[in-house]
Amino acid sequence: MFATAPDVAGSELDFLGHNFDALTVICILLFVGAMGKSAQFLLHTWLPDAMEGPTPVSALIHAATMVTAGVFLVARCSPLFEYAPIALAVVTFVGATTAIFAATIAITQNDIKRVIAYSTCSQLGYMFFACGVSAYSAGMFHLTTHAFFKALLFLGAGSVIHAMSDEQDMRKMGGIWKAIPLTYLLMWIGSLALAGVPFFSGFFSKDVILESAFAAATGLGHYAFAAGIAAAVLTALYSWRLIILTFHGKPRADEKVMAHVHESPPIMTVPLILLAVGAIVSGYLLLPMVGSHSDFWGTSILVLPHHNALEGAHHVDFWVKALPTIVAVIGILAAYFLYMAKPHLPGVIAQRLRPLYLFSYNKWYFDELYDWAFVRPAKYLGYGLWKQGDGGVIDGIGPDGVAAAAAAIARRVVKLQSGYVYHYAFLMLAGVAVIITWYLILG
Amino acid sequence: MAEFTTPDYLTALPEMFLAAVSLVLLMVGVFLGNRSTNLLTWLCVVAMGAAFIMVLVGSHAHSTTFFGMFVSDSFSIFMKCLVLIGAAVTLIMGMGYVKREGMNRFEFPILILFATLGMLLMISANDLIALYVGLELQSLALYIVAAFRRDSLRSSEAGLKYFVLGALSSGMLLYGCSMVYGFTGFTGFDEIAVAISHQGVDAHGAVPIGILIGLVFISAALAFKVSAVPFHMWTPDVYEGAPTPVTAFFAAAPKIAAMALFLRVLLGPFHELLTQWDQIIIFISIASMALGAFAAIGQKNIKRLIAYSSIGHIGYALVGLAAGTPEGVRGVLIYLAIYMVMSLGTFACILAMRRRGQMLERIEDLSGLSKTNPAIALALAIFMFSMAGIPPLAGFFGKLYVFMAAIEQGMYALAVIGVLTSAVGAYYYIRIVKVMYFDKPAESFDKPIGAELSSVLIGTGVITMFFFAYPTPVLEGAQAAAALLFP
Amino acid sequence: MTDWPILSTVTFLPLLGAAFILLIRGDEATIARNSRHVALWTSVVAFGICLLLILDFDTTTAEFQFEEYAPWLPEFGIGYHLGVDGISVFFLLLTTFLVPICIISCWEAVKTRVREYMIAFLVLETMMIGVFSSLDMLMFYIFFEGQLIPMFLIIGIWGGARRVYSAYKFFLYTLLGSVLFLLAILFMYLQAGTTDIPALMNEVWAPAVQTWLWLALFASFAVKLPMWPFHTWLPDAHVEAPTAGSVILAGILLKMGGYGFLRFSLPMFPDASEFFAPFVFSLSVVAVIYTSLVALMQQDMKKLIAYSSVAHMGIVTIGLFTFNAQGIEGGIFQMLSHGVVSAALFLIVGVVYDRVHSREIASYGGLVHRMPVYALVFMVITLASIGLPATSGFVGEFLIFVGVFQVNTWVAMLGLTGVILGAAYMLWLYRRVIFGELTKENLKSITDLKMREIGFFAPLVVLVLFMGIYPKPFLDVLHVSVENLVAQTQMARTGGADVVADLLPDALARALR
Repeated sequence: MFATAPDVAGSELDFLGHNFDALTVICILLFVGAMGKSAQFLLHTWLPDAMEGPTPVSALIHAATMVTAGVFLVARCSPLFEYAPIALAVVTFVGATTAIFAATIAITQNDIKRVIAYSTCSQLGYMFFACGVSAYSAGMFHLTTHAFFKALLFLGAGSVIHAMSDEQDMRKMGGIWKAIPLTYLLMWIGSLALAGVPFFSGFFSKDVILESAFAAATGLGHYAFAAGIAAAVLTALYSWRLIILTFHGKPRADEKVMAHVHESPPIMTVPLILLAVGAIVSGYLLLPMVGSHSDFWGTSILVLPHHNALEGAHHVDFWVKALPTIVAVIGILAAYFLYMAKPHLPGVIAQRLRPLYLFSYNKWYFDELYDWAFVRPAKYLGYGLWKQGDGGVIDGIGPDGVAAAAAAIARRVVKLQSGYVYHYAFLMLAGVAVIITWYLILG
Repeated sequence: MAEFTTPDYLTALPEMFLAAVSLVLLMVGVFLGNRSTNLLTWLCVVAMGAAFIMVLVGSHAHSTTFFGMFVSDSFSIFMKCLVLIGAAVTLIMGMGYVKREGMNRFEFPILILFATLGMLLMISANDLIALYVGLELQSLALYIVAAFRRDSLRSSEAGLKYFVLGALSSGMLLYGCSMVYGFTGFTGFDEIAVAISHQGVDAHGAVPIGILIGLVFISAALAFKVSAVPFHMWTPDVYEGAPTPVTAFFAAAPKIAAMALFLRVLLGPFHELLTQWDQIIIFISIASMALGAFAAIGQKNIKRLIAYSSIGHIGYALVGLAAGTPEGVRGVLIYLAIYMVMSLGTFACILAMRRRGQMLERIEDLSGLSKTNPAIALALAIFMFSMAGIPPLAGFFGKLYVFMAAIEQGMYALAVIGVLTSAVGAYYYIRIVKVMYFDKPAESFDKPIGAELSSVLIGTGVITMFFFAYPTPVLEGAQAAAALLFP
Repeated sequence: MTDWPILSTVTFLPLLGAAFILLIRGDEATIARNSRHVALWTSVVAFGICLLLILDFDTTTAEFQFEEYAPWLPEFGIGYHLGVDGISVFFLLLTTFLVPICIISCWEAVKTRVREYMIAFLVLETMMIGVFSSLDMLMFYIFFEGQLIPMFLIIGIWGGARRVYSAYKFFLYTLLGSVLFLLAILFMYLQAGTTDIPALMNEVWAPAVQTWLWLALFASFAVKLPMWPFHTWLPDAHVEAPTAGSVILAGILLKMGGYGFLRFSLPMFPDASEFFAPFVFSLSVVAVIYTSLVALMQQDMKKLIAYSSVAHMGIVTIGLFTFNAQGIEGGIFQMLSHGVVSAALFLIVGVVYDRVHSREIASYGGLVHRMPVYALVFMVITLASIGLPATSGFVGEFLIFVGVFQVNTWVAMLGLTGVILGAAYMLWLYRRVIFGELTKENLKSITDLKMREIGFFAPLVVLVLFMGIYPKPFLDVLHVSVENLVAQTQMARTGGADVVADLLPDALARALR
């Protein structure tokens, strides 16, 4: 199939009554599937709710493996996407938008797992817009490093929750870093990797993505770069917000819970340590994935010569390379300022900017929007079609209606049978008369 | 003046035999009194059996006697066999009822025998006078048996209504016959046919109106006898009021005989006027099917329901006649044969509806019959589904052949109306099944129901259920009979 | 192996079993017990014979196999003709497979009049097998109509509260459609001189004639399938019938409509079929979306599954009228899959109904805590109903949509929205019944599946997964016959669709396009 893609490129497909470029249609439709799988903007609403499941499940499928299937699909189908520039543009746009969108929500969430969930969503956006600018290797690279540090963060959160007697709300945590130092350290490692601080794995993968976006030199590429940078600030902000709220400050949980705070058993912490190791070294070790003219991917990823964003990423200006790190540090400092130094400040800001706060807190009201646009109409329509449609119209005209009509006719007809002989005789003679008249008139 | 030659009596042997036997048995009855009723009934059945055999060995080709007034051919053989079977079975079925319900008088079987004789004469009639004689013999006997239960108001009412309306129809018949005689100069069917074809058409391409009017009146009278709409009005009241064995007899034999007559008259002397009378038949047929389908829906009395259902069935049979082809007539004959079997079976079930000595007629009395009398319920269910025309039961095949004939003639609208009314009518047949199987059981019927009823039930049930396996005798007989009407 | 009349045996063995049951004597309990056993063993033997048939089936030819012919009404050209090809052989197997399962499922549920129940089922089985193995149109009709009698009795005697209304509705509605079919048969017989199906397939009918005949057949099959808007009998019949009755109704009876289209409408009236294909597509798409929405709002579990059946059959008809191999194979496969899946769904409802005697969703909740095995079975079947890959539901749907995408992308799009809705109502149902808190008192002592129940679910679950993971054996058998059917329709299509369009009034032709 991939081999025939160049031949099919430029041919047309009749879709929904209009003629479109075949590969564009195909790739866009494939991407919609990937959007759903990887919780991209518009099809993202399921991911945070899926956090209700057990934490290991979240760690595995909602961080590292299942949701990355969408990215995998796009990268795997690079031979197709390369011939569908419009599709690539869509991918870039959606990915970039998701990256910034999810980050804006993560900064106001109170459930520890939800913050990490939206973080996943945002990072997936990075991976997608990397693919969108034809830097598939960068996307796959980030996918790999992200698997390590996100799983680490989730399991770390699970460890915290376990320590806090199944409490997930960060507003009820705080001041436990001394009690669970190992978890604390590991969460730091995960967050450093996530924020893209140099020498941790996330630094290598995130930087090459942002550099590729910049190097793509298209309008969308620049949009993606800007969104990525903005998201990077927010990423650092919410990550340290999470750490500070969870581990620092005065304890906000009650005494009973605080008394119970304990480090998790080795069976939980050993995997965390393993993941932490990966979060530190995987970036460095897997750098060949995105090396200049590297042969790492062989023929499994196709990049057309004129899509040279990844190549260009190696040659961008220094400020482009440094910017992600700078903004990450800015984000960390901001978090320290807002949550450690002046802890009352976030509340004040939230009050002053209440509409914005609510917009973010309520996830841009997407749940409510979808409920209003899809769920309620479907239910209403279903109910109406059932009662009025099936019950009223179809049955009314069909079986019930015919039955009622038959019964009505029956009642009328039976009245003819009056019981009086002279009526009967009259009808007989009338019958004869009618027939004879028929013949007389019509011959 | 033709030379007097002795008519060929052998051709009319069954009728002469029955005539003699009925007179003899009448005398026997007079002398032995009412206690001989049972014996006489059996003797009548035996006589009918003998007549049956005589009919079967009769001539299959068209042979006439009594100066052309009496004809015997395979058509008459087929119909006479049906009539004799119907009459004999009715007599057998009714024996128990007759004994219990105060009808135990020797005149009953004799009258049935007279009526049967009249029917045989009707079937063999080849002349307007012979037609009238046979018809009247049958009718007069039937008037009396309809009112046989003198102490029952409904029975007397039934008989009287039948008599009055029957008299009216006889009058119409005679009037029609006289018109035909006036305009053709003959009363014999063969001569009339020749006369009409010679008359040809007048300058405007139309048939002499007198013959047409005569035909209409004759048809009206015959339609009365077969209870086709709009001459059916007597049927519900008379069927409901008459004693049940008499109703069974009504539904079986006279209908067959009258239909035979209808077929022979329309396809014999009047076959030239096919395009004209076809319109009447189509109209009557549609009206009968429709009335039969709708009017029965709300009925509560089972005999009345069967009355309407029989009107419907005649409507379907007339579809075959409307086609006007040998296949059509074949369809009519098959339909009638199957109808008679179903009808006899149904009435056997109705005769079994007796609780604590009291005869029952309401449909709700059948409630839950499948639990209290499963055999009767099964039989009645078979008959009901068969009447609705559900394969693989026999009733389906009747409808199959008549509709096949209609479609062959391109009468699609008629066929469509036919099947649609059939679907509507299916409702009340399955309603009876519903009452028997789905409703809570009422008290059981009196058991045992008697050997005569059981044997009739089993016989008719088996034929209805397994007709599909071996339909050939009926099919071939009907085919041969139909061919005779189209020389 | 096949020099004995294997098809006649399979067809009439259940009838023999029914006759045998009639002869059983004894008190009520003995009769009940013996009837059950006789019925079960008869149907199992029938299934065994059917397996022999499949094993001996030649997958390389599209000719009819295991043919039997005996003259019945020779002077009329009507004969007793049986035979199977790739299209019908699986329906035969499905029938003989489901009947023993039904009998096992109602082993304890039917307590009154067990003998009559078993007789009715066996007679019904004969009729169903007869429909699929008939090669004579009149015989087909007789078997097709004949099933009305036992089904009517099954619904009416052993059914639920509104059984009488539902039984009437089912009987009369189906009868009305079928009588028009009868007229079409008569017409075809009179023109062709025979009712033999292979002979009739070779007849060429003028497009105008084809139109009327197609419509007459459509009247019957559309009610049977059922297609929207002729579907309203189905929810009532399914809900009120006893569990086993619903299983047979959904599993087999509905497939006869699809089979009718495959065996008659497509090969015999290809021009008319092509002309009416947009019409059929429209009705099917409406059916899928409409009934899926209605299913979403149902409170009664059986009614929900009934409406989902209508939706699935809508997808099937989309597949059948694509006139390409993928679509038709997909349609047949989906019919088979649906036969198994919906049978399982009704059995699933039956299991909890036997315990709680309620079909209302609101009566349940949190069953997973007490009935984990049941929850597992329910999950697999739910996923199959939704069409998850690795279940049988996916294969059929995928093929159908591949097929229809080549013909009309709008239909593909709209049909797929129905699939989405399908996931919505099934998963919602599952969640409301199985997950959540177990708060209701009467559910706190509910028991998980018994051995007998596992006994009839296991084959269904295994089959669903087998068909989903390895559909090749099934598709191989179908393939040659379907290719043949597609070729028949292509060849016989003489551009007649346009002729048909010219003959109808302009407005009507435009509306139908």
